[in-house]
Parts: sequence; C-alpha cells; structure tokens
Amino acid sequence: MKKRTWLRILESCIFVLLLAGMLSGLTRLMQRKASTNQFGAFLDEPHQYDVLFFGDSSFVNGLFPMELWEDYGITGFNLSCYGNTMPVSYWAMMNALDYAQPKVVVAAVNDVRKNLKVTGSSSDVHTAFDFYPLSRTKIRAIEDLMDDPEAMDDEGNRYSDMKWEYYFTLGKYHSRWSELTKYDITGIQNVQKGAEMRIGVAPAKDYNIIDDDRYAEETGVGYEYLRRMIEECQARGIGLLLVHLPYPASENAQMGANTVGSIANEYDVNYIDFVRIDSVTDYAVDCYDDKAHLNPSGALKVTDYIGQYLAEYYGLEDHRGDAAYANWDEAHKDYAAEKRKLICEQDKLENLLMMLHDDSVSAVIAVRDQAELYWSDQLLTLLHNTDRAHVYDADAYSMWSNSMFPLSGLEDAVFDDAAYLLELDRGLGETREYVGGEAVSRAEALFGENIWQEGREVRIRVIDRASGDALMDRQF
Amino acid sequence: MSLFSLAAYGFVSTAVYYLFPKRFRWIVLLLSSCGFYAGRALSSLPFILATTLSTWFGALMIGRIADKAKARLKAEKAALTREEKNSIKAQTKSRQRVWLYLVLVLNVSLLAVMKYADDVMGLIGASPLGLLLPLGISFYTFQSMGYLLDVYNGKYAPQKNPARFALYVSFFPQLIQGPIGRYDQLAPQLDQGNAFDWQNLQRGFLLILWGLFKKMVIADRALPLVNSVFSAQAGEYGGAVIVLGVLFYSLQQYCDFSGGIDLVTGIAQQMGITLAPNFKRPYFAVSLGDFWRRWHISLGSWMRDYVFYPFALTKPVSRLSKAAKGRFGQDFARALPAALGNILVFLLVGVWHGATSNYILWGLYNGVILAFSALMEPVYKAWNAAHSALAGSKAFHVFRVLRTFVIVNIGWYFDRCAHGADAFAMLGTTLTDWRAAQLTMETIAQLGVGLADFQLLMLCTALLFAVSLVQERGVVVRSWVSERNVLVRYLVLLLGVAAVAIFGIYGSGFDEATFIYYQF
Repeated sequence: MKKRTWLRILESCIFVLLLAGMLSGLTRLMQRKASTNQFGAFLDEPHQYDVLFFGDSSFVNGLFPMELWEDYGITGFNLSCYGNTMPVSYWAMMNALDYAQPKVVVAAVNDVRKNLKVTGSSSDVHTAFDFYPLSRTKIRAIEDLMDDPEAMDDEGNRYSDMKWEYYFTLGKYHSRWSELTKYDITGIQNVQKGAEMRIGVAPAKDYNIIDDDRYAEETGVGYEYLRRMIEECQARGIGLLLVHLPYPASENAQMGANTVGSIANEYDVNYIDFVRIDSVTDYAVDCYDDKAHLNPSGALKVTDYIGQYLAEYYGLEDHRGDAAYANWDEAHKDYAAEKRKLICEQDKLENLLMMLHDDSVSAVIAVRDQAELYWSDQLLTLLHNTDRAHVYDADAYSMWSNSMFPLSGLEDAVFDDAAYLLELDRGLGETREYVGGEAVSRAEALFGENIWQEGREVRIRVIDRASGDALMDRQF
Repeated sequence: MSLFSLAAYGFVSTAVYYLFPKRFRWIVLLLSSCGFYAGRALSSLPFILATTLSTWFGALMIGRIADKAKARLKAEKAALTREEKNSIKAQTKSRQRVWLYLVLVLNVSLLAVMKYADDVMGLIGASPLGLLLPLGISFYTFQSMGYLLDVYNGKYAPQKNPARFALYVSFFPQLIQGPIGRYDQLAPQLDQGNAFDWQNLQRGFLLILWGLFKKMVIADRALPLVNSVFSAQAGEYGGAVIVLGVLFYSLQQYCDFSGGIDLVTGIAQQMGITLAPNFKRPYFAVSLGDFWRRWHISLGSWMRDYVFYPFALTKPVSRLSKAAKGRFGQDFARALPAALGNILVFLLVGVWHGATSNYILWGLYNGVILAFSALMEPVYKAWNAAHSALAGSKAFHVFRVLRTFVIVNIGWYFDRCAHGADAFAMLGTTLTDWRAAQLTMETIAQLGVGLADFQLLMLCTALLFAVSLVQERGVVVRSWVSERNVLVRYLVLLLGVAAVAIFGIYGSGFDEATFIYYQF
C-alpha cells in the first residue's frame, strides 16, 4: 500500500480512538450518578467484604452494614437496589462475585413471587448495574434480564427495547445536559456501604400470621433464580442466609415465604422469616411508609438481629482493631457524622424521636405537663422506642413484655399529666427519667428557666455521645 | 424506525460494499437493500416485488417492440413508403402504449388502493379496511413509473437484468423518503461498483451527522410544541401562539425532511453514489415558484417531466391556449398552459400527501398562487424593468424572501391541520384574535418545550441559518471542512457526534419521531 494510504488508515484509527474516548467521557459525565454514588465504593476494595447483601428496597432501607462494623466488626456491603427482582439480585450477586470473595451472602426474598425478570422503573435496574464496568458477566446479565418481550417498565417501555441503553448509557442519560451540577463531576459517595436511610414514620397495616405449612406453588422466575443463587453460592463455598424482611405480608406472600423456607430446608440453607418473628420490629414506629419499608429505627433492629445471627452461625471474624481494616474506622467516622447530621436535620417531632432510637447520640427530652403528646399513642410509643432493647432470640420474647415499654416514668407522667424529662446518656449507657417537679427542676438546670417557648410542649436536645456537646436544641 | 439503526446499517453496508471486488458490489447493494426492506417491512415485500417485476417486464416489452420496429424499418428501409413508415411507427407506439398503460394502471392502482382505500371507505361511511401502507410505496412507484415513461419515450434502453433493475427500485437509503432517483443518473452508479474514496467517506459522514443534527436535535425538539398547538381545542390559543406553532412547524418539517435526505445522501455518498438533490435552502427562495424548485426537488422535477409538460402539451390545452390568444392576448395565452399545469400538479401533490380536505386545499392554494404568478409574469417583468434599481437592491431581495416565507407558511396551516376547516379557523384566529400576552415562556413550556430546550432550539436554528446563509453564498461547507488540516476536521466531526449524542432526542422516555415523509 502507498504511504498516503497508510497515513489515512492511521488517521482513521486515531479518529476512532478519539471518538471512543470522547463518548466514554460524555457517558461518564451524563450518567445519572445514583449507581456510582450508591455502589461505586464497593469496587474500591472489594476483597475486604465478608458479607454481601442482595435484595430489593426493603433491604436497601433495612440493613446498615456500618452498624455491623460498629457492633460486630463484620465487613459488609449492601448491594440491594430499589425494585430488584430475584433475577436482578441473582445477577447483581454474579457481577459482585467477579470482584469480591465474601464468606457469606445474605439475600432478601421479599420479591420472590414476582414473575418477571425485570419490572418497575428502568432507572432502578440501571442503578443496580451501571456502576459495573462492562464485563462478560455484565453482558450475560443484561442479555438474560432483558430477553422477556413482555417485561415493561413503569412508563410502558419494553425492557427488551431498552437493552442497548444498558450498554450505551449515554442513550439513557444524554438528556441530563440541562440538569448537570458539580456533583456530576465530583460525585457524592454513599457512606452507608450501599444502604440508604429513609426518614419517616408511617404506621403499617396489621396482618395475620398464617400457619407455616401453607405453601405457594413454586412457579415463576423468582423461585428459579433463588435456586440458582443457592446453587451458585454452594458451588463457590459461600455461606448463604436467606431473609424475609418484616412487612405486613398478605397470605399469598406468606405462603411464598413458606415455600422459600422449604427450598432453604431442601438445600440446608439458613432462613430468617421476620414476618413470622413479628417481635423484632414494631410496625407502629419502625416503617416510613404503609408498605412497611423500614425507617432507621426498624433497620437498626433488623440489622442487629442479622449481625448477631451472622456472628453466631457463620463465625465471621471481628476485624475491629485490625490494622488492615483501619480504613473501616475512617469510614465509620464519616458514617457516624452523616447520621448525626441526619438526626439534627429532623424538624418533625415523630421523625426526630424515631431517629433517637439510634444510640450514636445522647439526648434530653423534656415534655411539659398536660402536653398533647400524652394523648398520642404514636408519639408515646416513639418515646418508649428511644430506649427499647433490640430483640434477638425471638422465642424468648413477648410483644407485651416490659421491654416494649421500658420507660416506667413516662407511664407515670402520662397518668398524672405531669411534666416529664428523659435523659438518654448513651455514653454511660444510662437512661434517667424525671417526673413532675423533678422533671421541671432538672429541665431548668439543663435548659435554664425558659424551658419551653409559648405554644411548645416538647424540647429535645441532641448531644454528642463522646464529648457531651449539644448538637441541636429544638422545640415542638 | 431508529435513525441510529439506519445510519448504523449504512455504515455496515458501506464496509461490506468495499470488502467485495468491484464487479460484485452491486450484488452487495441489492442484498443490503433486500435485507433492509425485509427487516423493516416483510409484509410489504410482495408489493415492491410486484412493482419491480411488472415495471421491468413492461419496460422490456416496450423496448422489444421498439427494437423490432427499428429492425423492420432498417431492413425494409428502401421498400417502405413514408406513409408505411409512419404507419409502422404509429402501430409500434400503439402496441407500446398497451404495455405502458397496463403497467401504469397496475402500479398507480396499487398505490391508490393502498393509500386511499380507507379514506374512500370513510367518505362512503363504510368501515376502514385497515390496509397498511407498504414501506416506501410512493417513492419506489414514482421512481419505477419515471423509468417506464422514459423507456416508452425512448430516452434509454430498458434494463434486461431484473436483479439490476430491482436494485434501482429498492436501493435502501432512498427507499424511505426519497429522493426520487432517475434511472439514467442512478442506475449506472449502482451498477458500476465504485472505488473506495476517503473524501467520499469523510464528506458522507459529515452529511450524515448534519442530517442527524437537523432531525434529532432540531426537528424532534420542536415537535411537541407543534403537536400541542395543532391539536389544541379551537380558541385555546390566540394568533401569537398559533403563529409560533406554524413557525415551529416550518422548522420541524424542513429539518425532519431535509435532515433525513442528508442522512441517506451521506450514506450513499460513502459508497460513492450521488443521489439526486432534494433541497436547496428553500427558505431563501424569492418566490413561491422558486421555493418549489428548492423544496423536494426530485418530486418537483418528476412532476414537471411526467405530469406538467405532458399535460401542458396536450391537444386540448394547446387549443385552449390558442383560443385564449384571441381574447386575452399572446402573453396570457403563453402562460395559460403553465398556469393550468401548476394547478394540476399541486392538486396531485396535495392528493399525494393525503386524500383529505386540508391537503387538497393546500395543493390548490399553491397551484392557484403559482398559476396567478405565471399569468401575471409580464406585469412583474414590466414593473421590475421600470424600477430596476429597487428591484435589484438587497433590501428588495430580502423583502421577496420574507414575502415568500409568509406565503409558504400560510400554506403550512393547511398542510399541518387535520381538516381544511381547522386551517381556516386557525387562520381566522391569527388575523382576528392575536393575544400576544399568551406568548410567554410558561406557555411554551406547557406546549412541551422547556426553557433549556427552547434556548437550545434557538441556538441550533441560528447555526442552521448561518450555515445555510454561507451555502447560499456559494460556499460548500463540507468541502471547506475537508480542506482544513486534520485537527480542524477531527474537531468538527467530534463536535458533530457530541452534539447529536447529547442534544439529540432519542432513547427511552422520548418518543423518537419517525420521518414525516415516511408516511407518504
């Protein structure tokens, strides 16, 4: 070939490289950052994780890996995502296992009865996968999940028609050009190891627990992918724990959960059905919506239960104090700071009381005599909830035990319509209650003479657990 | 149909085209075209096959009849008298006409039935048949009939190879919305197997990008506002918003159609094939006639050659012209055939768009104005001669451009409205109920174009105008780009790709609009 032709070929190759580079850059810039913000940190040091969590929204909001680190020294990452079906969870696990070698996988089975591989918002499916670089496993995941011509997203688009957007995400996100912010360049890293706290208190509907010998027929892709997940973990020597997170499950859903139990038995896999163990969470205060997605109060209880279970049955090593895991202490500082910030941001009484279940801060709660609060079952339960102990051994627990209503002083104050003051000293691990005149005296000592402004009846001071410094003081 | 998939199909076909030796390249094109058509409209395949085979065979028969007659005339040249020669020619023409009419009637009927059956059923109150218009039927029928008429008129010999003729009819880039190719210009380029050329590749790519930019960035961004304005309840919007809707329709329609043509022309150019031009900056036209010589040029020239001239030269029209000469003078008599021809042509073009009142009125509107212009031409010429300084000034040129723009846009009321009555109602509102206060960014956003999109649209329209102005002054922009150094060329290409990739309307959540002319 002539020299000129070679030059042309070289020019063209350079052009193609520049084009690819430009498109790659644009793709990164335009991409909705939900996926990289939430899960991007997973790829930083994936070999450190002992436990990986997979599931749908119930697990995103219901399991906080940094709490496991704080209490048990367990290193985990929550790779659950809103709207995940079992097939999506399976493929999320398969992609994660390309990078990590966990000792245990914990999989939520709440959506096992869904009969489509993908459904709901296509953005959620993007969130589950966008942060992974293109790989053979990712391609297999996309090809498998998008092969159902009947699967549609919330807006009526066929997933099979949108498959290309999972390879070429610019096709999905290019229209974000008018809404770019500096965070599209810097990113906002999730410090909760994949989890997300959703703040709110919404009493969930009541439900009846059915007998454990009523099973749903094992049909649909959910059960199929659950089996694939179990078999994959067993083939790789990874421990597996299945969990059915708490919510007011219908009879059909409970029958589905019982079927999961029988599958777990078949494979000799551990299974926790929180719907049957209904004493771990309190649906009156532990959910942020009536579908019973857990708020941080409920999530802390579930996380603690799972943490104790993992420590007891899977023998996971406590890495606290291990120099190789010093980065987790740093990460925990960021996590704790974010929690404190979240707590201090709450300007609704029920949300703040709910958040004070978290023992990462101390607090003083002063209630005026004859307060309206005394007539609100929800607020009283939330007050009790600030000091509730976590339940682990479900069999030894009664819904009506004293630990559901640990604040006896509060009961007295309500009876007498008297002032009440609660000190939650998490540094010392003490709870102090004051009723009537004692409460007013203690409140004056803490807040000065003007304890409550006119029209206000509750005053809450949030205090740094370690230093004792006031972080926030708000009246309601 | 995804525009990206058309462009991608073009790129892949181009690559395969050059992988084969020259003598096989026409086969690659034919297979690509068949694959393209079958992939998108398998059920339409029998229709295009019927047109291809009937036209090929009809033209072949017409050619054979002519050849036999020529051979006989040559062999018996000395023995035949003039009368006998004329008789043979007349017989030949008569026999050829049988084939011509047979094939014309078959194909035009096919087009008419598929296109208008449901409209007719609606008119007579019957249930629609629900016939699906075969992909590209108008364009390949026009192209085939043009070929048949040319063979009948002895312009060129018929193609003997049905596969090569099938390629001419089905060449995939132009199948969707034209341009309508002429056999003598297109077929040799398809048949010969073109040599690879870097310039063609680069310039074709640039044209594809420009087409995608016009279609996806401008046309599809303006579309929601156009749809909202033209589907609004009568009286919902005042004249100001309606005029904005019409202006947006001007922009949308031009960028949609010309963008699509740029795309297919670019794909063809990458394979070394030059398609017939279809647009020449129509909004710079100085008269309505000039506009139609710049807009959908291939249809206009097809109508001129196969409808306008044959009609204007018919005996009844000639007789009418002669009769008018005595009563209205020579100028009027000369212009009369052209005036009548224009009305007929635009009536046909209107009906071709659809057998509904709005399209018929739109066709008549254009035809009548052109007829009036033809009849008044002597008056214009005299006025121009008397005011030569003014007539030759730039200001007057701009005035004529603006005047033409207004005339064309009035026509778009009929083109875009679903019914003629709606168009009249909107025109009435425009003239009598302006409501300027309604024209706010809030209203525009409610009509489907948010502030950011509106600003982008204005910016892109300004770019389009600037490029068109430069082209109108004789600069071939793509040549200018291809003559720059490699950095400038790459920058232009990369910016083009980036603009389409970011600002284009595509992907889920967007209703990626198909080409307007796809439906015709």
